[in-house]
Amino acid sequence: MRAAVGLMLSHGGAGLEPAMSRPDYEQSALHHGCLLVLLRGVGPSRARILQRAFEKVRRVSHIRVNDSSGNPRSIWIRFVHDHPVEHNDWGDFQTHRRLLGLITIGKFDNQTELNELCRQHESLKVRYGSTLYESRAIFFGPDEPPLKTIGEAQESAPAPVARRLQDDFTTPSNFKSQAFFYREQDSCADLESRISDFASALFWVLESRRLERSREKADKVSLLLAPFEKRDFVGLDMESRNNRKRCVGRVMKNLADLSLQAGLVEEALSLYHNANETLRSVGDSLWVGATEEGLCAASAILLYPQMREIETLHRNSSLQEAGTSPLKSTPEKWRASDATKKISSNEATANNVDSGAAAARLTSNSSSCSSVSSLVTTATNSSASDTPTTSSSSTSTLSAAPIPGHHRNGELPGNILKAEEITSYYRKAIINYSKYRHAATVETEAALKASRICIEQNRPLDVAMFLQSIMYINLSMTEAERVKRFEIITELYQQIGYQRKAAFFQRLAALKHVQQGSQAPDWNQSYRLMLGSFTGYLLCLDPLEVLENAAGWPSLQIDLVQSLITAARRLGHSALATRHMTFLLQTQWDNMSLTEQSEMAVQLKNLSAQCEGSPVPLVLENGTVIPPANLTDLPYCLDLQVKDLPAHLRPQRIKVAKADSGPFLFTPIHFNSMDRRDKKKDKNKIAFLWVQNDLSEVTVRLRNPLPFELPVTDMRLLTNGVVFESLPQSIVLQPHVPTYVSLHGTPIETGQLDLQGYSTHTLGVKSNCRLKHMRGRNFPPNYLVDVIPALPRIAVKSSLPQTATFSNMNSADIVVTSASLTLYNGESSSCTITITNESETLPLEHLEVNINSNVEQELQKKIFRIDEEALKAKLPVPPQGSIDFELHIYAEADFVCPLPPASVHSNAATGDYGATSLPHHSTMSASGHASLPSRVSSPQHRRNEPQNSSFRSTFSGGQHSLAALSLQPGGAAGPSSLSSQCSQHIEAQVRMKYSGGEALTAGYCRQCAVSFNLELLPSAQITSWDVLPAEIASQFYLVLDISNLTAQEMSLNYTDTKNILIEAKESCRVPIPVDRCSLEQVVAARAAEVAENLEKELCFRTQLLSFNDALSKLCSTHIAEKVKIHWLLTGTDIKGIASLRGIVLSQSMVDLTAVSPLQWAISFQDTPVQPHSEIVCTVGQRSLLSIQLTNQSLQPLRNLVLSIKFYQDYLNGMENYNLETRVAISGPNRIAIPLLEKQEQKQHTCSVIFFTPGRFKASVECCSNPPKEQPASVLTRSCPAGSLEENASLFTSSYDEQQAHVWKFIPPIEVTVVEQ
Amino acid sequence: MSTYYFVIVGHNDNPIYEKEFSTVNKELRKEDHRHLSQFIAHAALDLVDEHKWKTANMQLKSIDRFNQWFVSAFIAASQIRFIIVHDNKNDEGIKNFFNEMYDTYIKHSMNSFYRINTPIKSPMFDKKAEIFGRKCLLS
Repeated sequence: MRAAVGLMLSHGGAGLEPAMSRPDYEQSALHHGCLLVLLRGVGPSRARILQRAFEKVRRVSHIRVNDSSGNPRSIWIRFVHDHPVEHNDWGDFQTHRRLLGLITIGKFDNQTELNELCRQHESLKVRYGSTLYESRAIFFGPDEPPLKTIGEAQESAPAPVARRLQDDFTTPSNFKSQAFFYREQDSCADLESRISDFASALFWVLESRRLERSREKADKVSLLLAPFEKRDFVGLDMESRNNRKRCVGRVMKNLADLSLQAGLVEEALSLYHNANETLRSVGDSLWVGATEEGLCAASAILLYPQMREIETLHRNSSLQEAGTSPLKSTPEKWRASDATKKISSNEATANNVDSGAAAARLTSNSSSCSSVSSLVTTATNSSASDTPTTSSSSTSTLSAAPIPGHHRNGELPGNILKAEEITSYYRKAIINYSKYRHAATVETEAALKASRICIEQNRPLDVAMFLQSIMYINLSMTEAERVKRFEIITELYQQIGYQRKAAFFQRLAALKHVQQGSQAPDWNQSYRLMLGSFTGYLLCLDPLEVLENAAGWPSLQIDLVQSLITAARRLGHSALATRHMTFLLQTQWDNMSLTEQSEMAVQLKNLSAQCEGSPVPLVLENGTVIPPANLTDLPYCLDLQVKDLPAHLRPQRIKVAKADSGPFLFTPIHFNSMDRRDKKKDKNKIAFLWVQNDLSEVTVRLRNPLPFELPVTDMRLLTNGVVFESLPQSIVLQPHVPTYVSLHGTPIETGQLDLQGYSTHTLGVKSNCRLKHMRGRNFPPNYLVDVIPALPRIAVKSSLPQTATFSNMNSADIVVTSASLTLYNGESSSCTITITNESETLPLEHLEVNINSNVEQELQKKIFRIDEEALKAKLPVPPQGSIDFELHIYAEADFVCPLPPASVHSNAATGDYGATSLPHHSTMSASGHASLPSRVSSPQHRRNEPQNSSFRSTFSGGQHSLAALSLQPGGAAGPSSLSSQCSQHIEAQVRMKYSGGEALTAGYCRQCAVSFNLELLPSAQITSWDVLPAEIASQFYLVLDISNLTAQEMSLNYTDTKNILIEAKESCRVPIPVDRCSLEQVVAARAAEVAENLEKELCFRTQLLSFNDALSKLCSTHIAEKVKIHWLLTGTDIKGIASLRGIVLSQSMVDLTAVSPLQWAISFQDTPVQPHSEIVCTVGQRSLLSIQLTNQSLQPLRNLVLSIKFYQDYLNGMENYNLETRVAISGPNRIAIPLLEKQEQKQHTCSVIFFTPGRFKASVECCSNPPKEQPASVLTRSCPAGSLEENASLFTSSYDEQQAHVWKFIPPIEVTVVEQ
Repeated sequence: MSTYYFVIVGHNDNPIYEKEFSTVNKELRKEDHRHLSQFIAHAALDLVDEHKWKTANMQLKSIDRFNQWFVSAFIAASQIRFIIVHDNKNDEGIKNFFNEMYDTYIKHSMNSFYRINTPIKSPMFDKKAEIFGRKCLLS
């Protein structure tokens, strides 16, 4: 340590050139009036301990003394750390360059150290001995030993303690200076007053010198010389008039300098003026320059006293930290006070001599520096307030009494230079100096001083001019000095806000530091300066801000950042180099060519190999924070999509909230429109939900803009809000190919998840790529996803084999498994569905099963059946547990063949029951009956139907239609939804909504489905049918043509006992005895129908159903209930039931099916006729036929015609009704009964005479005719009159009577006539 | 020998158009040189901005210098700055060149497809600049 100091000292003493080699860049005009004091720390440096002392000393920069005549003088001290000895040689030229005082501050622990401190003090004294007036040494001794602290209780102890320190250690005998001793922890309360004493001591010596000089006789003065002038004056005649003048002028100038230092500014001014005139007359340019500069200095001291404040601030701040922050604030101050300054300077120029204006100027100036002074107070800590002589006196005192010592009345001397004159005087001075090669340093300093004054005057162009001139001063100096010069120029440019100029020189300085050929390139300084020049190039450390501004000169910016990277790399700060490279890539990507881009990317890769980049701020040693840089657009994100969960895992509301709860179906008023509007506002709000603990996905489309493969590793989602566990993803991106990358993660908590972007690790740099920083892609700043509580997951299995393809029903995406089943129509089966709760912790508490299919709801209910109660009983399912349930499936089909077109028009009329067959019928009828516009179900239309006395053709006709059917089975089945001719596909989904745990209480569930593919194969089909009277009146025969549509032999079980085998694709006819539909049912049906019609009549009076429809429906249902045809495919166990549901009956069939409303009681020859009983009578004999009719129904029957017909049945299909020659009936064979009240009996008796023997049959039937129709065709020609009179009473007829009915007496009476 | 570096600078200190004119052979010219010119031109912007409010002239001749290089400038009405960094005095030629280029620039900025402050990439503009450079600066 001591060796280092020694080296420093010897270095200081080494330079002994005539010219000043080192310009004092800090100097300002005001320093002309200061006393120069060297303030030096000696001994082993302990900066922190001594810092306080340094500050205390430094604070005493101004004292006020009363001179011998009692006038107050203002004395200013300038403390310097270092002073080249040769600068003292210029002391005659400008006295402020002379070192007048010396203060050393040192710290010792023992006597030897103290001795060393003293030695160093003395050696400094010797070095500057020629000019030194006074010196002081400040020594900090060791702290009191601990023992002393016990005795410290007495508070009046400090004085003896201090004495004791001096007693303990003694200075060497050769130490002649005054020394102050302090304990290390001492507050040094008296230090400042001691320094003031020291300053006043200096003043008195100076004052004596000044007086000495002033008293010198004009003819006796010696020539004062600048150091380099000594040679020039050798051999010159010193006594010449010119030289005398020169001597006098120089002495006068010297006196002026001294006066200025001694606080006599006004005197100095006039002396300078005089000296200037004198010297100019002899052409002593150098000294003329000096007087001009002196004039400027003296004027500046008066005009700009506040410059001292700034100067103090600079010094203090530069002591505290090497950073440039106070410098940055200075131009702001400068700019802020711009307006006021300009106004005041205008005033000043208008009437500068006017004292009032000057005062105004002072106030304005002081206001301009108020911010500065406040800075000062904060900088120097408020402890300064107790010392009245400190520079940091408050602004108010300054403006109230600015420098009272100089112009008590607030008046400026008349010979002061005006503000704008100062500049021109400086210019002149510089021109004068420039004539002397050796005065280059003085010239440089003058230019700097001038520019500082111009800064104060707010004349940036002049500042620029002076600074510009510095560049052209030919000054031989070391590289370090040159760099220093650039830095000082930078600083001054920054002060006037010329950031770009400043940046230019700052960069030059930075480059000079590491110039090629430089012995010790200082990369650290270079780095610091480069970083400093960022603002000038409109860059800042935060890449986002740079991107935001998008200003500046890209190629220069790139160059600067590259130099910065080089500097950082050379410094060994790989982290910084990586950071800056990342910054460069991010901010300048668009400004680089393709090759540059890839080069930089490769460079980054190489840099990051040494130190990986990560998105955290880096802090430099000087406290500068380098914000993180992210490769947001490398790779370039084209698209980011938040993915919903897979459909079968997607959460749903268990109960779908109604959209609007208003009383209207459609209303413009939205009752819950508030939240709806909210949703619209949140553009970044995701509509769907994510589930806690469920893997969620975001898809990103990335493009690699680099021409080589780009591996991106560790891609994760960046989120805020709820805890989210991101899964890393790695990918290698091919150049220029957009690639989809899926990023996965699991939300751990419930609430709102804020998706901000993703992080990458590419080119060795970790980056956080946030959406809000991706520019030009219209991304929202983030995506918000709601995360709901965890839901259980289930696995579903079915006992049926899976299908190869899933169905194409809607919401097929929720299908998790599938099942397929093939059934013959009428067959039934079942399927076991197993549900396993896959979740680890959550029980399955809620399960809702419903079935959805592509068939109608009604039919679907018949096909699928689930015991929901049993299922509910099995809940809840514990975690990992499973349950199963049965799904019953019945292959429901329409076994009854739709009627062939030929006969449709008639039976379509009654065919609107059996929902499934309805559409089919309507189509058929449309094709069959072209004149009908549309559906045929209206009773109005039905009434217009022609009389269908022979509804169904005879069986031969039925046969025919059967044949037609088997020829074209496909054609008939085409449009039907469920026809039995060909196989039928039914697609169904068993949908399960399930939930559990917290999500259930929150009202969420999941839905999944099992897809069923059901194939229904045709089995048996009834192609045609008829109803025949049976042998007994309580039954009838249903005759069916059943065809086997399977490829196998079928065994049909059509009654309890009867079986029939049908070959594949064959058909056969079976008669099935069925009980007739009872009268009670008919009655009930009728009552229902009446009620219904009444209702209808009340409502709209149209579309009245006829009783017939009800009756026919009743009969059809009756048949369907009674007749169940069991079939079995022989050789297999496939069996089923064919139902006759939907069978269509014609009117006559209905009459046969239902029990007749008429009860017959017929007696022949007074014996009642029994079915199948033999009646014998003889030829020619009269036989009495008595017929008794009873109306069993609830209604009166009207318009009945009872007819008796005898015929002969040849039993070959021929019946002979032409029996006029064989039989005769007495009385009419047709008897009209206009009205038959209910329970009323009618008796008709006639006599029959058979003329020939043989077998006769008598058909006894009763017809009811519709009232308005001409009954001609039915009522035979033989008795037209009777029918006519019946017609009259038909107006009150009920609806059913509008239809013709025929009730026969079954079986026909057989009479065998024998010969007598 | 003389070299001229001409640049049009936009409102955000961004170069809009750059061109170099030189009598020196291409082999002898160094890339470094152009870079320095850019830096000089950029540094001169402070002075250009200061001067443009102090004078009614659009021409600002030799407002800045660094070593052997001078900076002349021209302020367009839209505050677009034309700057030439040159190493020999040729006030008249530079003045003419500026005027011609201003004319050309005005015409180019009339193009509705050109947005102000964006780089000029028109080959026509380039050709004109070449012609005027040869005519006014290098002759």
